[in-house]
Amino acid sequence: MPKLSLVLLAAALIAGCKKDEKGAGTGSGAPAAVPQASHVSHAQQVSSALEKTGLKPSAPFEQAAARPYEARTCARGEIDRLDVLVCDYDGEPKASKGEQLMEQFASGAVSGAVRRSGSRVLAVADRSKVDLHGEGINRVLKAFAGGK
Amino acid sequence: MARWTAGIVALWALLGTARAETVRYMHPHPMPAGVVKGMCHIEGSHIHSFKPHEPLLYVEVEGQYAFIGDHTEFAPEEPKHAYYGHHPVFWVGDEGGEPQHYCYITGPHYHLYAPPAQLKFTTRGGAYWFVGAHPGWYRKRHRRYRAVDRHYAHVHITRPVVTVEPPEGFVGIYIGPRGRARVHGGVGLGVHVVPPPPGIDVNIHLPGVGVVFGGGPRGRGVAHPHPVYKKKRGKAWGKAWGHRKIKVKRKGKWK
Repeated sequence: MPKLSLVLLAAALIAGCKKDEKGAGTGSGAPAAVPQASHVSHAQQVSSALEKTGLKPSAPFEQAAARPYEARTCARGEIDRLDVLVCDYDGEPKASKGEQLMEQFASGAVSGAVRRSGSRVLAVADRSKVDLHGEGINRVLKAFAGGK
Repeated sequence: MARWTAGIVALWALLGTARAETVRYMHPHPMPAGVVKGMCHIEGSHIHSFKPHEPLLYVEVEGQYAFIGDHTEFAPEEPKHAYYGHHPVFWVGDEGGEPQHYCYITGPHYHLYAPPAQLKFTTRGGAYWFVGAHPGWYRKRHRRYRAVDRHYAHVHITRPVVTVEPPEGFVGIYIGPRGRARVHGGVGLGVHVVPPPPGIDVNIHLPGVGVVFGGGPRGRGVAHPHPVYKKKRGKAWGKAWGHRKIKVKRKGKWK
């Protein structure tokens, strides 16, 4: 009986992993993006907010796991082939703490940065080494800071 | 079960990222030659997966590395502002606060930034000169940072050409237009030394007596008691990174 339960557990884990792989982004070190119909509006909000600052997402923003960053909601997408995660927090103190947690998103990439604007935190990571001089990352950070 | 699975996946991802090295930097800095030639242009705090290529040219502030060297060694085409002698590093630390670090590059050199109005810099001969009072820790740390001059003696960089007399209030080594250098300010009056223009075959010999900033015996605040600019016979020193043709392998091709 215990053997059977172990086999079932392993099968469930494998099935779960395969399901998550479908929604995963390009990043190797960050939690996978999990599209959810109920949160699409938030991802769209983030996308349009970034567009207002002059940044054009090269891949659509999708809902991402918020729990690792202790955020309310997170959306993940690409801008100029840079991996971008935007998380919203319930207030600035939580966002300030989340700023540190969101460094995990950029770690593992050759370059990355995290910025906070009010209760919204943005993390950007160059995983595919397309911005080795950091000009693209700097442009994203400036646009985010300017579009408060 | 799905939640549990997601939790395990997240934990696995977090453990994976924990293994990767995360090094914190602030402001633009040179990139290691093995990654790419030139500068990283990210302003403010950011992270990289590599450590500073030359720790001597960095200071560590609150766990972040900040570049305080002459960036033209790595990126000669970048915007630059000419300086002469030692001065506070105003771009590191709290904005508007007292600078906590110093640039110990002797003679003319470049930085990315122009000095702020609140610090006592004056312009002469196309360069900024610091004419304010040096802080109490200036001399103590100078001993530690003498290696900075040794570093710049061994790389080929284009320094700004400054041929004017130092302004009033400047304390430091001044290298004249004919290559004669002397200590300006303090009590080291009239001490002439052979200058150290980078890339040229010269030795600098500062006598230990009197070549001090603000007085004191040899060994206490002596500017350069030993020859620091040594040059062996033969060709000039190796090229600076900004002048080298470094090939980096990217996507299987050498570029």
